[in-house]
Amino acid sequence: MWRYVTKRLLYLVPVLFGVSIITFGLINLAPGDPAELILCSGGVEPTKEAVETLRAELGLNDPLYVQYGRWLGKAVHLDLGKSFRTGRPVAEEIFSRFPATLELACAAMAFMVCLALPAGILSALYRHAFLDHLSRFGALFGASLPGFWLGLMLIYFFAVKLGVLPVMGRGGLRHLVLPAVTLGFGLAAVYARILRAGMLEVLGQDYIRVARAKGLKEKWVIGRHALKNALLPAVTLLGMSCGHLLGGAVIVETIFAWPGVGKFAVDAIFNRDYPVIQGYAFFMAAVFVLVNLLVDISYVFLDPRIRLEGGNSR
Amino acid sequence: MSWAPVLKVKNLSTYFYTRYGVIKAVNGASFTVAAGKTLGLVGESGCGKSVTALSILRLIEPPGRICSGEVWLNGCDLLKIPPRQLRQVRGREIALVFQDPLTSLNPVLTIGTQLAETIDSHEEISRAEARRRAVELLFRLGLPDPERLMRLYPFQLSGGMRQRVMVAMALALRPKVLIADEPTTALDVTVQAQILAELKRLQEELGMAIVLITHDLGVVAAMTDEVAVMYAGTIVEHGPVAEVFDRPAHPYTRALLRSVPRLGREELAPVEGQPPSLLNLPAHCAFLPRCLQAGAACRGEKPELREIGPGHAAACHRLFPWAG
Ligand SMILES: Nc1ncnc2c1ncn2[C@@H]1O[C@H](COP(=O)(O)OP(=O)(O)OP(=O)(O)O)[C@@H](O)[C@H]1O
Ligand code: SF4
Ligand SMILES: [Mg+2]
Repeated sequence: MWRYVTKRLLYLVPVLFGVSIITFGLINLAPGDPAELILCSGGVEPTKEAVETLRAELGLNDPLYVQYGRWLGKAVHLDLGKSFRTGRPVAEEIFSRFPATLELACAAMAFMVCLALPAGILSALYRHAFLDHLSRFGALFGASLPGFWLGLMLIYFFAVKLGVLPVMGRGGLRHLVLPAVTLGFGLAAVYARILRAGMLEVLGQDYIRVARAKGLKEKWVIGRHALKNALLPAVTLLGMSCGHLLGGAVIVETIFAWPGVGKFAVDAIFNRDYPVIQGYAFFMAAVFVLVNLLVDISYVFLDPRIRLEGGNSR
Repeated sequence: MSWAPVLKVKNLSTYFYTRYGVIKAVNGASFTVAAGKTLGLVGESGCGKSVTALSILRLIEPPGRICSGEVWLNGCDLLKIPPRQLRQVRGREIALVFQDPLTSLNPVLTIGTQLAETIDSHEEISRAEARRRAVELLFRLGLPDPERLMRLYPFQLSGGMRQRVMVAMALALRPKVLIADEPTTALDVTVQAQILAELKRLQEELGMAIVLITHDLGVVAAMTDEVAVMYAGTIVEHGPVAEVFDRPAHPYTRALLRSVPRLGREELAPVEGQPPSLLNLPAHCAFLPRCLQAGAACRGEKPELREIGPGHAAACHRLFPWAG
């Protein structure tokens, strides 16, 4: 087990290396001069000299590999440079905003589970009944709906028309509802379908018949024998989805003015704030890999066949 | 020892309503099992043996449906009792060992959990007590190191061990009737013999009746007291093993017995012809196209099971061809 975790953590190194090279390259291919953008405040053209001086100061005149080497040397010490725009350390900016994004992603995940789990299970148990059709229609609807459109609709109904929920910013639980629903709904739809399929497959297995033949209570048969097996395929995909939620937060954070890293990154892109973009990509890659690791570990706990593979017993 | 039947199946019919039509998997099957005795249920593949076993415990799921019949156990008809009572009967009064030990255990639960839950879902005892009894059961089935076995998962066991676990699970509550659906077909010959011997021993110990489903007539001869021969979802012959083997009355039984290699006759003669399609069974005797003894009477209605000797019955219009 520990060997497995260590191995997975070591994977982090090449992944982060690759991500940093790619983002570095892409950013520098993009048009626009950051020095010019920084100086160009209030629509006034900056002078050539001022731009040149700033370029030299930011090290933008050095060859790319020198710039990259310099960045990497600092990055290994968790120094991601300073934001061109605010002048504050990028790492600090990201870490201070990440809790908001994490909060949003967790809330969306919780919403997703609360919706997908019962929808998937009930729809499998009462297959072809009204409930099943309803949930399958909901799933189709949810999966094909663009997130921003759902967000705007929710704002329109709950905030503008009914005025029961706040539209903007971060605060208590009430602020969390609309962004979390917007972010989680599409995924809930996908997972409801995955769970339904998993459950149907499991319910046809011999061991479910055996469980019934033993005279177990039906809720025991479903809750213990069927559910645990039906969850396995869903859990394998969960890692990807966590990344999806954290990354997808970019749009939702923008719609709801949620002060997370996603919105921060979007602002950085508009402002050609290279260190921030670079740092964001780097940070998200690390989070992605770590989350996947966590999910895989939980999978291992669910499925003994993997946990004990080549392990202590025959 | 009493000969009173403990399990009585009457006119059982189970159909599957598929998109190709109605599959009459079990079609008016009747048989009885005496307390403490073993009944062998034999017939070629697909004749409805497993569906019969599942129907007895009402484990048929859509598109299948039990259309008619009675299953009497302890004075109640299992096909009529309410679900709550049915749950109490399952496992406790009548237990089932399935055909395939590899798919019959839940892959993500330990052997211990699966055994103990069987016990404590029927009896008001503590988890610890249930586990203690589970260990004892495993020990009784001749499984080595039962304490350790309790903590293992099915994939860590060999096929023979899994089947023994299945048997242990079925016997956990000392049922009056055990239905064993080809409990040994998936296993190699030595393990087969061991498990059958253990079943026999446990039967004597617990005094339960066994319905042993198999296509191995050797096993029937060695293990059972009575035999029921199934063809296309119906019982065509039923009687004491010695009687049926020595004086097979139904043409199908005779063909089956001919197909078994005996001492001094090496060649194995499979029953000639194809089993009938269960999708459109004829109104007359289903064996007609393959029957060497058929006559004009066979085109009439389906033959009923008729007593032809002490405890011996067969369903054929021409049991005594010389008589007409
Ligand atoms: N779920 C199902 N849906 C449709 N048809 C089914 C289903 N289960 C069984 N059948 C049909 O019922 C018939 C009897 O099947 P059954 O499993 O009882 O045969 P069997 O006598 O146990 O054969 P074997 O010796 O191979 O185990 C088969 O022809 C099969 O096609
Ligand atoms: S009823 Fe006729 S066809 Fe059927 S088994 Fe008897 S002799 Fe053969
Ligand atoms: Mg079968």
